[in-house]
Formats: sequence, C-alpha cells, structure tokens
Amino acid sequence: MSGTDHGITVTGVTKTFRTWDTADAWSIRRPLRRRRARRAVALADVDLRIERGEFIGLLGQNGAGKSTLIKIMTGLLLPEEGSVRVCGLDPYADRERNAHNMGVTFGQRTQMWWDLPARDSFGILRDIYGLPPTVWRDTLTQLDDVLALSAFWDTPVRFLSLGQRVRCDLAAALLHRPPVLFLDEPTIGLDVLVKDQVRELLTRYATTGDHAIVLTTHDMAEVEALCRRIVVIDRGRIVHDGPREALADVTDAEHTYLVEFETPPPALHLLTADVVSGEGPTVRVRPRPGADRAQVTAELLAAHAVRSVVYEGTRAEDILRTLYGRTARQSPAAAGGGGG
Amino acid sequence: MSPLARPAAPPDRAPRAHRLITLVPRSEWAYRPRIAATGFVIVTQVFLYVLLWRALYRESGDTVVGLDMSQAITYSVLATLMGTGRVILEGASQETAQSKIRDGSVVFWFVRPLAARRYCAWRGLGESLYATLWLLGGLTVGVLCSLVALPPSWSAAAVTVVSYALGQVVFYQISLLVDLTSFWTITSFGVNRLAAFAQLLLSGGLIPLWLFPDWFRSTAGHLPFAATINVPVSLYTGRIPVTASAPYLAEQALWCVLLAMLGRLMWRRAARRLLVLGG
Repeated sequence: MSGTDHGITVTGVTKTFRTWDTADAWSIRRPLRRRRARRAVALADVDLRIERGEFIGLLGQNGAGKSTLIKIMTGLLLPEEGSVRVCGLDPYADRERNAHNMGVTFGQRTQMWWDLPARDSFGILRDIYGLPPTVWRDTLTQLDDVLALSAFWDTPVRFLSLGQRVRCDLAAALLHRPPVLFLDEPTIGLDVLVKDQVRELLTRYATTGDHAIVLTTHDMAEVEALCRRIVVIDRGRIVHDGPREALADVTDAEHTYLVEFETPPPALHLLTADVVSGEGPTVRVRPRPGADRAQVTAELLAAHAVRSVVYEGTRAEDILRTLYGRTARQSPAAAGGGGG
Repeated sequence: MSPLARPAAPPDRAPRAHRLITLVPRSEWAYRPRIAATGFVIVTQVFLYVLLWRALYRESGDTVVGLDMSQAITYSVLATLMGTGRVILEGASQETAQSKIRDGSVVFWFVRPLAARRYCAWRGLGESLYATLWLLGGLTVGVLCSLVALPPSWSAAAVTVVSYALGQVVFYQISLLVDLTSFWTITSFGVNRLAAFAQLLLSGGLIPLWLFPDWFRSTAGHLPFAATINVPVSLYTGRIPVTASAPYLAEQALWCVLLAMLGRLMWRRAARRLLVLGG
C-alpha cells in the first residue's frame, strides 16, 4: 500500500460560493429589481499532499479558505473541480466508509449528546462505529490516561465545563482510532492547563508516525509546539507549504533584531546587518541578505556589551502577520473570498 | 506499541445503530420532571374531555353523529395519548436538525459511518416506542377506570395495531420533513408552528373529524395527518368497521411511502445545503 493510501491527496481543488450583492437588496422604490449573484472564490486550484506520519498546521486568516478545505477533505463539501482522496477514498462519494478513517473536531461544536453522561456518548459512538467492546474499552482507557476523562465522564454533558467538553470531544474523535485527524481549532477558548493536556495527547499521536494530522488554529504557540510542516492558505490559494523552519525564509527581508546594549553605542557599523533605527541603548538592525541570525549575533557580541537581542519577525506569529500583510498588498482586489 | 498509536483496522462488523432507539427514553429520563409534566398534561386533558363529552351527551341524547358517549370518551382518551405524548416529545432530545443547525453541530451527522437519514430513523423509532409506552400505560389505566372501552373485537384490535404502526411512521415522516426545512430556513419555528396546528386540527387529535362538516371531513380524511390519529382510533372504537379497513390501511401505507420518498429527496438536498452553514 502506498503512502498516500494512508494519507490525504488534494489535487487541483477549486470551490466557489454564490453570494448576493447586498447593494442590490430589495427596496420599496425598486421592488422588481433582482439581486445580482456573484461567485466568491473560496479555493482556487489547491494541491496538497499529506502523508501518514505528518502533522501539518493549516494556517490562514479568517475567510482564507481553511475551513472550506477541511470541509472538502472531510467529505462535507464537493469541490467543483479537482479531486480529494483520504486513505484512497473519495470522502464525498464514499462518506460512510471514509468516516471510519477520520476523526474530526470542529472548534467548540460538540458531537456529544447533551443530556447524557459523557461515557454514554462514547458508548453511542461505539455502536455507530461498530467498535468491538474490548477495543473501545482499551482506547477509552488510553484516552483517559492523558485527558483525565474519568473524573467527569459520568456527568451529563450539559453540566461539563468548556474544557471538560472539549476533552470529551477530542476523545470522541479519536475513539475509533482513525489514521487521519482533522482538528479545526481544537483548543479554542481553553485555559492553559487544558491546552497542555490536548497538546500532550496530540504530541503522542504525532510521535507514533501512524497518523496524518491536519490542525487549523490561530494559536501560533500551538503550531510551533506541534507542527513540523506549515501550510498557509490565503484567499483560497496556498501561499506557503514547507517545514516550519522554512517559513522564516518567506519573509526574510522583513526580519529585524532589537538589540539592547549596556550603554548607548557609538555609531554602529556592522558587516552582517544595517541599522534601521536607534534610541538610547536600543538599536533595531536588519540582517543583510545572506546573513543569518547566528552571524549577526556573533558580530554584535564580539564588539559590544549586549544586554539582549530580540529576533523580531522570526516567530511564526510575526511571519504570518508579515505574510498576510504582503498578500493583502499584492492583491487587494481579490479580498473578500468566501469560505472560512 | 500503545493502542493509541495503532490506527484501527476497518471494522469487521456493522454499526449497531439499533441501540440508538434508547436515545430518546434516556434523554427523557435525564429530565424526569418533564416525564411528570407529560403525565400531568395527559391526565388534565383527559379529565377535561370527559367533562366535555358528558356535558354534551347530557344535552344531546344517546348518540351524536352516530357515536355514543363511551365511544366519544374512548376516542378522546386514545387521541390524547397518541398525540400529546408525541408533541411533547418533539425536540425533547435536542437531536433535531433545527437545533443541530443552530449550534453548527449538524456537521457531525455527516462525518460518521451512519447516514444521517438512518441515524434519525433509529432515533425516531425510539421516539415512537417511547410514545407507545405512554399509550399502553394510559390505555391500561383508562380501561381499569372504565373510561376507555375495549375494541369491539379481536380483529378490530389487530387492525388497530397495524394502523397505529403505520400512523407512527407517518407521524415520524411529517415531523422529519418539517425539521428538514431547517436546512433551507435555518430555523423551522414557523413551519413547526404551522405543522403543529395542522396536525392538531387535521389529525382528529383535538376534535374527532366526524364532528366537522362533510367537505372538511372528506378533505382532511385523505391528508396524511388523519393517518396518524383519526384512522387508528376510529378502528379501535369501531367507527371504521374491520371489513371496511383495507382502503384506510392502504392509504396510510401510501402516505408512508410517499413521505419517505419525499424525505429521501430532502435528505439528499439537505446534505448539499450544508455548505452554507457555519464557518
């Protein structure tokens, strides 16, 4: 069986949505005027391949097309062009078979049964997925070890806190041991401790190398902690797809380092960086093309008493901010795509 | 290797979805005061019907439109038991398309290895069985209190059971179609209200259909609502003789098929409508 039989392949996927021009809304003055429909591009010719053992962060602004892509990969939407295969199956045409292969969370939306104890919900899912009781029990025990579910799983879901419910939902998505996971903002609204529990579980999954995992989130700390590969989607197109470390290269020219000296430095001349601005002991420098962080730091430390260096623009959050800003400047007319 | 690390092999057994029939009873049990409320509503309604029929028959003589007082009371008790239990149950489990669409969790109906249509059908079967428990309980109490007369014959009882089963299917299908409109309207409160009104009036659940003018009775008698209460209760009370029951049962069966086909079509369209809901 090839690698893609266990993973996800998205080929040339395009999806548009019909929107109505609100400027043409019905009014009493022009009651017969028809609203004009437009097609908003949510995804445009998207190619993506995720192998088993990969944990990717799917990033993008609100409305960039991430959720649309997730919905297409989970078989909720049918693309207008292109094809999708999850573990070798068409997720839309083969929805029920494909469901055995994937686990899904959608933000704070719950798949638990509101009035029943959480453990009863897990039992219903066992019946829906046709899981053998021993497999179900073993998996639940394993999930309980990490997520500490047993402390509250006999409580009706309606009485659970958000953190408890999200942990239950994550367990519900993993109960049938799917090889493919789609996690759409799984830690949104959670406190630090619960986030840590969720991250620990996902890290365990990632380290097995047995799963293809797609995580969408706006929490960059989560992305940096979990994802080795990052895919950035903007206005329906993939604008970056590569290792987490390579993301920094995308916005290289826009990195600056904030250097704090022990005392205000005299006129600063560096071989590896240009001075952008300075105020008292604090100077902002920009690395010259070809110079990396280590070279700039080494030159600074060699000749000056440096108190601290802050590498601005190198954290994933900074890079994305730059990237989003750049694509917005490049294609202002394309703004307002559909999807989510 | 820990079990978590090992993706499961495709299951070698079919989903045991039949266990979903316990969903509604379990949800009801979670809100025990609601069960008490249902009982209170039924008892009160039956009590008022008994008062009403006794007062009417005192004024009108032994029979009204061919029905004696015992038959009228039996009709109202059974109609109340069949109708009220179901109406109170609707949406009790919060497992309706309407509530799921509003909170966005309807997507989970479409990412499981059990089609949403089948999931709802199993849940609906549980709802019917639960409502039937109310009916049987109420019927037993009614017979013991001499409020409810027994059916005129064993064959009438048997035909009533068949008709009741068909009526429950029609009941489920009507509720489902109304619920599925939420995929287009986001909220089906308005459609729900209209359907509840039509169900109450046209099923004979509130007032027996034969008390209405001929034109109304003949029209309502051929609508699916009548198949849910009027036909089975009329068979039980002997208003429709067993020998004349075949066309009524056939019409009920026809509604089952037609509504099921319409439901299937709506499910297919609803799955496509999912795209506009939620980010």
